[in-house]
Amino acid sequence: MAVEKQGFLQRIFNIYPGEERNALLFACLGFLWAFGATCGLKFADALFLIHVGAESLPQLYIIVSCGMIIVASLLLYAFDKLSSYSIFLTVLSLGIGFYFFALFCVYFELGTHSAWFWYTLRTAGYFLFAILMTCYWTFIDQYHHLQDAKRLYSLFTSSIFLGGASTGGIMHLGVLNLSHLIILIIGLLSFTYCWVKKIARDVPLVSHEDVEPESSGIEVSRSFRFLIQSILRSRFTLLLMASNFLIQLLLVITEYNYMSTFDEHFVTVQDVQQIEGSTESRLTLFLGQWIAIVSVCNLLFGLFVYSRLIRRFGISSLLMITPTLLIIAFTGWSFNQTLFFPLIGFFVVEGTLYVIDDNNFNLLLNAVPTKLKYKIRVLIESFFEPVGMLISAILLNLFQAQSRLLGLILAICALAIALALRSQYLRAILINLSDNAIRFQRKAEEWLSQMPFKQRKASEKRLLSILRLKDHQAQLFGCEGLLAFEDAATLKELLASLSRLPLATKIQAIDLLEQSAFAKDSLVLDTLQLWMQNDPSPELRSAVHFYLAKQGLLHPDKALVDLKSPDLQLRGAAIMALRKSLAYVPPTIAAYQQNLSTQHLRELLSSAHEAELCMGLQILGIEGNSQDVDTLIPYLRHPSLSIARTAAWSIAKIDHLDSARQAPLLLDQLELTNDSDIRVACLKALGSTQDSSLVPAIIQASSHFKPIERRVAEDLVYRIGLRTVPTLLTMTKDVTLTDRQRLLAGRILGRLSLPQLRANLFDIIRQEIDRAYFYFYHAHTIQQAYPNDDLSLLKDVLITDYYSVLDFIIQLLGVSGEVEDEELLARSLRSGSPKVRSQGIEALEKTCETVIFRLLQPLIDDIPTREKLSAYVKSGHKALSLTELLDRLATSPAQIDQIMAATLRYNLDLPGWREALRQQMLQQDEIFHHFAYELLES
Amino acid sequence: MKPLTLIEKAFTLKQIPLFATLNLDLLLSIADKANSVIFEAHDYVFLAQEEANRMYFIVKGHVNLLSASGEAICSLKQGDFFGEESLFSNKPRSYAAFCPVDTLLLTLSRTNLYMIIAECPSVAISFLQIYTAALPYRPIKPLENAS
Repeated sequence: MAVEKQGFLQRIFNIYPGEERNALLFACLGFLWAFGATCGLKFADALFLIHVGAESLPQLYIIVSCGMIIVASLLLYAFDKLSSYSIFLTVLSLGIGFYFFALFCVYFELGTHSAWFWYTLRTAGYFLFAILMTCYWTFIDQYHHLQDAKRLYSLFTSSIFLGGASTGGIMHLGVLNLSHLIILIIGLLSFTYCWVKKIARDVPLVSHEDVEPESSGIEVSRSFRFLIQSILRSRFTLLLMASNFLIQLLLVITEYNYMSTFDEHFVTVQDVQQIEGSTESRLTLFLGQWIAIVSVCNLLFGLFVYSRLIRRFGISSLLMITPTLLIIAFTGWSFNQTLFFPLIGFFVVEGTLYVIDDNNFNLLLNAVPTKLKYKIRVLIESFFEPVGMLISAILLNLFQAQSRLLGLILAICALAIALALRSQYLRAILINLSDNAIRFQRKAEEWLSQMPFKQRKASEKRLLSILRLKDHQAQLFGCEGLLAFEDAATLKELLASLSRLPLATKIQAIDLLEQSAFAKDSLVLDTLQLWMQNDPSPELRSAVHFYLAKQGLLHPDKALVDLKSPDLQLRGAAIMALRKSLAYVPPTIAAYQQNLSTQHLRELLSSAHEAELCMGLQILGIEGNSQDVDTLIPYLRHPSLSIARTAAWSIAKIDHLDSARQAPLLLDQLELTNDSDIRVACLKALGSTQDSSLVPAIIQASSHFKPIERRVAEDLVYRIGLRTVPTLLTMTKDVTLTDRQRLLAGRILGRLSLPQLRANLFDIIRQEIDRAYFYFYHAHTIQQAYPNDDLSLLKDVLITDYYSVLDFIIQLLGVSGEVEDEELLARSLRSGSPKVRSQGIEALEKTCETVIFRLLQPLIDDIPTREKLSAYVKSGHKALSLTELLDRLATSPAQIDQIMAATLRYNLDLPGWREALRQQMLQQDEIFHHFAYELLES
Repeated sequence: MKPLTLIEKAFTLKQIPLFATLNLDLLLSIADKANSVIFEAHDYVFLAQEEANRMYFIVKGHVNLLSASGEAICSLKQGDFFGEESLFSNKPRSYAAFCPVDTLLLTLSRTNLYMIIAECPSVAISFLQIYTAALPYRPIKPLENAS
């Protein structure tokens, strides 16, 4: 019964099992501080009117507005220096201290006759309320991620309402005098202080790597200028700020309009109907009734409706509610004189702004760049309210007669901004996620070309200064960096600096020049000639000759003498120069020189020395003749890695590959070699064929590819183009392939033909979600079902399978949702940080269809394992016995599953394991056969 | 201290043995994610037993490592790094890091460090080389039931 009751409470409040205690702690905290702070504020309001008078309110507003700007600046500074926990406690201490002082003044009647006492009480009450609001949300934000926030924050907002309502109750009762009231505030704030400490002690933080809890250092970029630059760079942040500012303006303008309409209405009614009693009392009664109705609605909405709406429709849809209601109110108001439309305005100001927009703001803040998040909260909550009040007062003074039109225009602007926010939300979440991603695929040229002009020039200057350092590695770094800028203006300076460097550095710099965009620049060639003239060193001459020969710029007459040089590089340069001699000498001489060079090349290729053989292979690659591929291919299996690598790179340089005859040999090599350089070179060579029939083999070979190899494979299939789409679609659907192979096919398919992928997505994903549940369920239950057997290895394999399927699903959904970096989504869901995980889930929710997301959600949400397990059983699946499970693993495309199945059958000595293993062997590769023989022979 | 540009960050990383073998493309990609942080004299970078999320590279100044009881363990200078042990072991900091002078550090998050190791195995090998150079032997747990 107790469990059922608990389950019922969990369901109505949207609390996951195990979360009840913490949710209660945070809700109580919200109630306590709100009760204390609103007591201070509301009573100060009333006392100000009694002791000073309403005529002094404008002065008070100016003081509050200006003071708030100073307080907000202090708060911004504090968030740079201190944790939100420390700030919360400090503010509470200051509040308690202030009210002790106020109590002292009241008790001894010190200054209570002066108007300034009441000014101070009211101003401090406002400051305390505003700062505690910011501190509360910032504090609880450390303990919750975005998905928690969607479920729980409306509960916390309701607890704040309840605090405010309790203040209203006390005011209504009128039983407390000022001293008692101050004592109550001190008590509540002190209790809040202890409650904050208890939470900090008992509840673990939800860590986020970007918010460094241990660092007291100053991030270099934490200046005010950086804050402004960061805000300007983030379109979403700008829109969020603009939206909140407009809401502030609309709040005041709507309130002014409905109050004046109510006032007019009751005056008119009284005149017409000759009703007894003052207009004020009737208006107060009317407002009181409606405030009570809206407050109850707010509480119920916050507690039970908001979190469900947000999960059902997403935050993007809820953004539209307030602007739409205001447009309806202001439009209808102009034509209809009843109280219906003003009441809509009243409902918005007293209701939706608190229960929808405030909650929306707390969620949207998660899409703001992490480092700006708390500052944006302070800016919006502390600056915008007073400034908004001031500007709306000015606007109302200027356009008093057209205040409804003004409201309508502002409401339309608010709707436009809400639409823009909606469209930017996913992008902003993905940008936040990508803050954790390193873009390894980017080339240095891309990084440098994106620098602003000023930074570019400063970097070039810095690199030139690095070139002047005595360190050899630093000099090369400077040279590489300057060449990557591809700035012709600095080339002369770079070459002049290089000329002053030691010989060893110069020789390595020649390699860098060769790979740069300036390889054939006349300035470079002249400099190289000059170096040779000034330095007779044979190493330099060898390097320069080789460089020139590769570019086809070495004159055969200069090279002829080097054909028998002991220096291998000089010999290589001579061979290359003579083979291209037709450009420099008459045909008969050229023919002779070519024959001569061919003879020397053959000598190199048949040499037993590794370096000579490599030189020969390298020359074949530089020449790029397609008939040489046959010569090069056998060297791919050479036991010497450097020879195999040189052969692979030479093949990659040759554009023409016979896809029927030579490509299969390269595909074999992809499977056989473990060397990444050889694989990348083979892939590049295969890409040059542009043959779509090679795609299945390339993708099948990708199972064990490293990230860089996968990127190359993806790129080469993508370049083959739309012809590959049918093959890719078939492979993405093919459950006999491994998840990695299918994923690669799906990713390329998404890039080439998104509609095709989307059209088939549901069918593909549906079965994969079932698979993921299957693995997850059995990983967590199989050991309990067979407690006497050691199934820890099986559990590990099932967990690995689960993550592999999940990766496949997430990345494929990312591809179909046009997420630029789909691996980012998968990585974020595997992240150790719950905040990153929650943002990954949010991005996924926004990119995939609701039906798919609903199926997937129990798996990816941070809910207790038993809930996930029950989701599997509820969806009509049954638990397999160990034998059934092993049978299923034996037919899995993943080799690890097959090996696991065979091993366990053997270990547990299940009946017929030998026969089953022999059956498995019929369809398996060499590795499995080796393993199977070991089992059979044991 | 002036903020470091992307090139300067990449150059700083290049001078650290862990990244010495990486090319400019990779160095710039990593530099893009490295934050520069200034610690004033007598600041603590972190205390013992704190949760660990980042590792640190000294760009300027120096850092003293202190045991949990406050005793000096060693002093690190420009080009040295620290704080990575807890990222691998998933345990709280076992020592405190103290800046006796104004110090400029580059920091890398755990996620980024893991991504770098996955993309560039040479970094993992460099870690191993550095650790093995510092250890005379690998501490092996004695057999519990050794006769």
